[in-house]
Amino acid sequence: MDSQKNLIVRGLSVEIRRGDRLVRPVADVTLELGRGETLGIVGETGSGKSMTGLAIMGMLPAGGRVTGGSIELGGRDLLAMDPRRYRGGEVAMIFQDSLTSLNPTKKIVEQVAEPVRLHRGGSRRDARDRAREMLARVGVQRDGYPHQLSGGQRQRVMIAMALVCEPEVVIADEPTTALDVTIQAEILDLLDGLRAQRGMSMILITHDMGVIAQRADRVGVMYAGRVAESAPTADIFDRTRHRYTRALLASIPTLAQDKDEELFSIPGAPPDLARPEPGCPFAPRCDAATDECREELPPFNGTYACWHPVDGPVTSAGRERFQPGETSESGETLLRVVDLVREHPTGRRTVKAVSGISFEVAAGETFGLVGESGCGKSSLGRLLVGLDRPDGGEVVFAGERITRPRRAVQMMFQDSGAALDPRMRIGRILREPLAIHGIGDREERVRGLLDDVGLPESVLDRYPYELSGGQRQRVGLARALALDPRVLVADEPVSALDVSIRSQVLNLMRRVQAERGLSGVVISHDLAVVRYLADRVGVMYLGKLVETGTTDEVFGAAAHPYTAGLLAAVPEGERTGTPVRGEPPSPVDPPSGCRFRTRCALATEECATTEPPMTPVTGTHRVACHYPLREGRNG
Amino acid sequence: MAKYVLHRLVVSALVMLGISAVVYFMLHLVSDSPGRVVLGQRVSPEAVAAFNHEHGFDRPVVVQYLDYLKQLLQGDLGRSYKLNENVSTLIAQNAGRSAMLSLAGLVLALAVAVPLGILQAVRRNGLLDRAATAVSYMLYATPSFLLGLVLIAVFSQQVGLFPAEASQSHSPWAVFTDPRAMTLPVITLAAGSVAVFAQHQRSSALDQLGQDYIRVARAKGLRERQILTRHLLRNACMPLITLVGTLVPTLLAGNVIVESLFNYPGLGLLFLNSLQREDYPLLLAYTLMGGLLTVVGNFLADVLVAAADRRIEVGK
Amino acid sequence: MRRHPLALAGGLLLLLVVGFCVLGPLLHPTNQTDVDLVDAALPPGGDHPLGTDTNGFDVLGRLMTGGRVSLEISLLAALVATTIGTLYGAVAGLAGGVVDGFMMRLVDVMLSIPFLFFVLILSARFHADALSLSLVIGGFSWLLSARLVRGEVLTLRVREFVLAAKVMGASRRRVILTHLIPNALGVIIVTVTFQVADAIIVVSALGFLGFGLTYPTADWGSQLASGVTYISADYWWLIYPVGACIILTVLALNLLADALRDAIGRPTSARS
Repeated sequence: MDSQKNLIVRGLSVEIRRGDRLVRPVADVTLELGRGETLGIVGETGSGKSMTGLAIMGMLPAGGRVTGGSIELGGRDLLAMDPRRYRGGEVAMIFQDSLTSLNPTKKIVEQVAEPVRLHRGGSRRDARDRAREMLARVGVQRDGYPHQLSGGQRQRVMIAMALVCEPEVVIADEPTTALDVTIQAEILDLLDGLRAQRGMSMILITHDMGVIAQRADRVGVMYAGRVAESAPTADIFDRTRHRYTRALLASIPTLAQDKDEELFSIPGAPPDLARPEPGCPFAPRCDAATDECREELPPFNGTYACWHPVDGPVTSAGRERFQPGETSESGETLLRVVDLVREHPTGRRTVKAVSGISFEVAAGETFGLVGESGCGKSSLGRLLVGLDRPDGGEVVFAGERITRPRRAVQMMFQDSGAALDPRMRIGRILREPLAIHGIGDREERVRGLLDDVGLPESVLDRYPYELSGGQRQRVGLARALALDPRVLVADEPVSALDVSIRSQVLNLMRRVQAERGLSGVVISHDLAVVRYLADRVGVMYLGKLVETGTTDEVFGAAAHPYTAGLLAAVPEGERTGTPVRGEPPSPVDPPSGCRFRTRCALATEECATTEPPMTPVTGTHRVACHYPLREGRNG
Repeated sequence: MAKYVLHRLVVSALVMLGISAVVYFMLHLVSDSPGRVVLGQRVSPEAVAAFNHEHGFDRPVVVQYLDYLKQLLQGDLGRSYKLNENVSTLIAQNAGRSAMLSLAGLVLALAVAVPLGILQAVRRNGLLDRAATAVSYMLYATPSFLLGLVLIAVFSQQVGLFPAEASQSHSPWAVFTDPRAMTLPVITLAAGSVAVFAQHQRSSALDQLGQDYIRVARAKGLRERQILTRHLLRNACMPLITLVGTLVPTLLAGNVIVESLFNYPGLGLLFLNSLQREDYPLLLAYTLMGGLLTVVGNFLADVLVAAADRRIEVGK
Repeated sequence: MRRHPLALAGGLLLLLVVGFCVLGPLLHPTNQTDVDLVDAALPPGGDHPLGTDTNGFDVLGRLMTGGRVSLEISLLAALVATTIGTLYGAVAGLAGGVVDGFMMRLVDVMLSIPFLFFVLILSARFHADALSLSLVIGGFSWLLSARLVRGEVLTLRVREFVLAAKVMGASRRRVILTHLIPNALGVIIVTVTFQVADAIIVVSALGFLGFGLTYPTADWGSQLASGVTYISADYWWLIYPVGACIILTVLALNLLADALRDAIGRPTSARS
């Protein structure tokens, strides 16, 4: 048995036939996984990263088959074996959490015990004992049905299920993508700990470069079904060779970058795998592509597959800069939110979504709202545009109270696929706001809007489903701009998009806002996105703002323990500070006093009895905490 | 769970109350006055009025309804003037036979449809799936009396394998004691349901097959058959349970037609005969009973599903 | 349509049936009013391609006129049911809250009533003509469409594109007219198609049980019923042709409805 390499994938190719459509999601992929090592596979939707994992498990979807290459585990050829002999026993897989990832009608101990009986034999009782032990190890103490668990707990159960038979290799496919950043950190810690403890090898499949940077020993970057680059993690970031890797890294907003420098953006969209072109698959989007790239496929030399490799990451030289500070100090308050309250009744209980929030947005300024899922940020967004009426407090725009939607305050939605009427062509979608308000010259204005968001006129006759995600998001932006609003509320504007498309839309939003002197409210769970777009930030926790200030103040010198813990949980480069632990309490019955106290390391008696008021730290920086962190102490 | 059952029980009682009101008033609206029905068309209006007054049929309809309700609660379903017999006696005489016919049909339909639907889903677009879908379409498009007719024409007239008439035995157990005579009626009754159930089962199994937990089960190393029996079956059957609960009226209507076609002395035949006799107390009682069976069916289905899937309780 | 061979088949079949019932009598004129006992119960052949029934009516001609009646009743019943159901469901869905709760509980109650019994009671009491029969069937079968439409409205109401229209300042009227109705239309059309199919079965069941249209008008169900009487006399042509007509028509409608449902379920194929 090869003692160094545990799992070796050589030249793996997969094809999937559906009807008369033939797709090659994995082509000539070579990967090596050492014993006890974590191999990260990173790529965008359709890059073939998940399919590679499924191929190793022998779980290709219907119509799929391996057409070439080999997969060896400890010297044995997996492709020649019945996958059920190793699947779940020696090689286990953890999937992305979803509501349906566990059987809803079986108790979790039984579900975890199932693979034990299958691969280890033994009595039902032994299997259950073992399952309970494993569940305790991942931090789930109580048996129950899946619907009684939170997303984080479900993922823990999935991990227990995969590891209960002590596999040699575990494949984790986007194990934390559906989870909040604080829970993501916990789950990844847990996985890492168990892996190290048991000497397992792990393949970590993700689209998140930050996760890779922190957790992987080696990285394989995949693009269009092929490995573009494969190297030790540090080399990927510091000695980047492939042009796609370099472009991808440069297009991701981070907490550390200069926020006034435009993000690098990769033009176009990934290729259609059903219609393969000759040459390098990245060539159509690569700024250094030559005829050679377009005609001949670059071979994979063990490290990269590129005709014109680079040396190191992209430098900032030559990239456009936004004018910093120009907009944020132009003065008068445009949007004022005062003691806003919103409570949704659900059955007999009431979800306290927004509980007394106040902030102001100046003309030309962008205010960012960050928080985990369920903190009430989207409910707040609906109140801002007048979709819902507040149960208390008010939203005041230019001196007038907002009680219903108005022209000057428009919204950009998370998923334009859902926000565009599927039965309307793009032309009609863009004319609709103009028609509602009886604005003339519609054709001309629509053309102007398309120009502003960088879409060709040919999209006017298309239906939304005929556009790519990035194009749809541009249409969504154009529509929001059609009424010449003064405030643009954007709820998770890029969350539904692939990494390489995100920077296009983010750059566009910044440019458009600057050009039009537009005020903005950006709502997102992604701290880096908010940091990139916003001038000032408010951090939300369970329906309340816990900290506000300029982006630099909040991100640079977080004063609230929650903000600091949130920042520490973001997987990015070196890990500093202590991430927030546990899961947020229910917004139906929030804790007394400071709502964060149940997860706060610094909480005292006082926090439980008295709600901390918003108090200034420095000029514009305000925090609602009895024991605010001083600069430099954390975060 | 107890709380949920109680809640459903209260709702069911309220629905039943609503049904009794709707049925009573609608029948009151369409029927002749009882005096006219009992005494016939030739009697003078005065005599009819006198009869109605004597029996309280001239009181406001709401009062009559409340009266009827009180009677019902005491187990009195009223009296059939045409047959000069208590309605409850008449129904009791026939209910067993109808119930056995219905149950036999339902069990047969489920026994065929559940495995067939799951198999179709697993081998989606395979030969079996396509064939079964085609047959389902045909069966669904065939009214049950037509199917019964064809069965009679083929198996009774041509082949002579089964009699054209159902068992005339007064025992409710004819399905077991005289299986030859009951074969065609039961098959006719089951066939229509098989088409509906199998297609429903197929689509709910397909739904479940697309859920992530199936993929997780596969990743554990379970065989496909184990995945079906341990994970899929239970989850895929829930929508069918609900469907059967709501389909009770359709199943009852099926009974009427089959009993009429095969001349099987049950409630359906009694109902048809009462229609011709304009025997309203009986029609009223039978319709109400249909409503009650439906409510009970829905209740049982809900409780069964909730017992198997604890999410329901929380959802309510 | 090319992607839905079954829809195509269903559509063609339906056209064929309609053509047969509407245009057929022009090509094959028959006397469907005067009883002719001399030529009664003739087997197929000669002037009567499908024979004659026990009253001497030409079976082929009777299939045409009967089919026309059946189709008319079913279509009207389906339109009545869908209209009531759509309005009811839309009002409940749009109103929401207590109104919705009350309206839907009412539907629950009505759905628990075996409606065929009512139709039977009504048609036994009042000798039905085509119009009243379709009104009665339609009046009792709107409940499921009400549920469907309400469900559709409820999901559409919170879809992001409807919210987007509201943010743009669209009036309630505009939201309903330009977003809700066009998007719910698919479901409604599918419902109508299924309802027609179901109504054909109900009408024929009524006819079979002897509570359908009154003599001499004869829909397919009553034709079949008169065939049953002579089943032991081996008059097969009184049963199979009319049976085939019913099955083919319902089959065509169901195929079409299923294909339509598939098509609206996947907006990506809406144009193909």
